Amino acid sequence: MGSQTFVMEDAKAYAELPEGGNFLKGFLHSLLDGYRGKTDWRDFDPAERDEIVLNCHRLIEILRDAEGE
Amino acid sequence: MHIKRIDPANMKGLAGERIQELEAFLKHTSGHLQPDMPLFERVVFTSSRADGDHIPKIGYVGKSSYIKDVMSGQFGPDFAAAIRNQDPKFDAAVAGGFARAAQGVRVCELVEMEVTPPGATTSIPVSYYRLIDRLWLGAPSPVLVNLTLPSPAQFHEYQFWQDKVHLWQN
Repeated sequence: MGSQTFVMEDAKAYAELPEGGNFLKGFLHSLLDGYRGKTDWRDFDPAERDEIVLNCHRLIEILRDAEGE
Repeated sequence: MHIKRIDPANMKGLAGERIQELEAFLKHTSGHLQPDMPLFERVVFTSSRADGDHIPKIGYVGKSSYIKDVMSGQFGPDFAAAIRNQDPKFDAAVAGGFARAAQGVRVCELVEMEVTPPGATTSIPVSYYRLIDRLWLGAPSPVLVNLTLPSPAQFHEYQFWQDKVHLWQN
């Protein structure tokens, strides 16, 4: 699963964010770039997948946090 | 504990160069995330909702970030809570910088203090540079981007850079 699919998979989580969370694609691309040459979801080991999901989850949380001001 | 404002141009060593690099990017892009953002793997994003009493909620944690090193990779959904629980004094001491950055002031500082990392029974002296600034990802509200790097005075700086030197070669 590539980054595009990854975003789609989490569409529900992003839907309530501004622009449906489209702006998160930039963040996700920068995040995945850090995993040297890995572009497909299957390339990542379980620990890396957990790390990516956790980072996205926490990022959404802080954006919601800021919107709640 | 000592926190001193310092112009990035006067920050020394490799850490100083890296902070200058990120500062130049933030100036150039007016604080907007772009694909070529330098040091993405070393930064941390926090909420811009910063009260000055505690470290704000932490979002993205770069996999080569200094705080991840200090925390020995011990983090879960609420990274800020893990830090607060680990060392409340550290939390309180560094929280003010986040509040100032949230108000639009770019924070560039030298921080010298003692912290208690996970597993340690006594505190250890640390000396690091930090840059905190607002960063817009495209949402109406910004996040705060924080780059923290050990200063040349930090006792294990040499080892830290030796371990990470391969990261700079790409």
